[in-house]
Amino acid sequence: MEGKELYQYKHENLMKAMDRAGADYVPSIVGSSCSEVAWTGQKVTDIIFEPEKYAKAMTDVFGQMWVDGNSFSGTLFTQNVENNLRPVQNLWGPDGITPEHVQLPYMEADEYDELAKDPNRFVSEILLPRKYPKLFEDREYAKKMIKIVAEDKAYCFGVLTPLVSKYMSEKYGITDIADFSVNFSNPMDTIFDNLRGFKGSLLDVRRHPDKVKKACDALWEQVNVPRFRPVNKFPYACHMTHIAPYLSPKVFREIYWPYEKQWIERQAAGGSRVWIMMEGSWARVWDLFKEVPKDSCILHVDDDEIELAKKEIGDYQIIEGGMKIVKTLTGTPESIRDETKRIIDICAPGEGFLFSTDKAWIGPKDVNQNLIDCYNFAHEYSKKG
Amino acid sequence: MSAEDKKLIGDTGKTEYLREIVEELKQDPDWPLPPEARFFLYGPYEWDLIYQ
Repeated sequence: MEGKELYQYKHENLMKAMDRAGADYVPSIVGSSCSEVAWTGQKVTDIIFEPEKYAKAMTDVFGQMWVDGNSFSGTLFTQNVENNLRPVQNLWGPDGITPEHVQLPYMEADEYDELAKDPNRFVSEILLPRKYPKLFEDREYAKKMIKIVAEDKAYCFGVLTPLVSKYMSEKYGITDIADFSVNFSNPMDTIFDNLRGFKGSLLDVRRHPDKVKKACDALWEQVNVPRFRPVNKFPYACHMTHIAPYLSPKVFREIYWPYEKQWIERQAAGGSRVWIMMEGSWARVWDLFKEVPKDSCILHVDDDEIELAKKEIGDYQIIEGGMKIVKTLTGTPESIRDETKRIIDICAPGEGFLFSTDKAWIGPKDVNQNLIDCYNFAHEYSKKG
Repeated sequence: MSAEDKKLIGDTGKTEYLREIVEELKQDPDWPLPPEARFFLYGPYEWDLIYQ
């Protein structure tokens, strides 16, 4: 099978698995940065400005590896931004493969009232001049820098990402399940990612939770809600979560969950689902996902054990994950096969399960022969009959 | 927050300054980037810039 026929076969099975409607096998999912490029012996930074070469390098491995769905694969930036605009949080590591994120928080602890007053204006009036003073001193420089960032976004989102998707679907029958153009940011993650960073955010929710909550309400109303578009049924809107596992269940319930719940309910009411990367451990708050419609979420399980996720939430929401990527880097082929078998035996009954690694494929050795064999074995072993 | 920062909120026109640049770029006929690919300019560019 190849081309459209292969795509149709894999796609139908993938949708059946998520609908718990009698899939023939457990679908497997790829989530990556650019480790696939390293597998071809190349560096991302060497080929990123050659779209066809990049897309081919990002997908060649799927000629040897059975994969059904793609959550996200690729990059959201090139080195053009860091080569022109400084400082930046998102950089390419020295290996030319691994993206690095170095938090640069510019908001102070005592600025929540200003943030809550007008979040958008707070960023453009206070934070941007603090981070990039030259943008406000030299109009021509500002135009040049904004053009560079705009061109980079257009290239990554408008050229590279769709081209990788095209290669995946047309050559290897892989379906995009998440749509990163409708990527949700929980207000508390917005504070964490854009404003206060790891240490600041965690201190703030303990020292003055009321101010943080008020700012989150303002972010929701003035930043999240205006960005909502009519719900697209498929691929699904997605959320790369960040601060959640570091919040106590009480703080999560009060400050994080209300927005998450509204977003999930909005997508479900539109006849769609959401894909959530549950980065870190979420076991303490899984029960909350029973408050939203059944099978409205695909929950990617990261640090938590998949068998516990299956037991606690897997019959109510779709779960994704299972194989610890470290196992594919350090285990023997036999131990990896045994672990794959164990995961499928536990998670396949009742469906609503997508097989994947816990972590995205980011580092230069993440895509390797063990990983390829593991995915192929998961496919073969999970076939019915 | 410093007195200087307090002065910045709302009355320095930095938001409008950025918006003017962005509006100019939306219409820039000499920019090779096709107008339909200029989606960054349609916001929320201030958040995208602070995340860079």
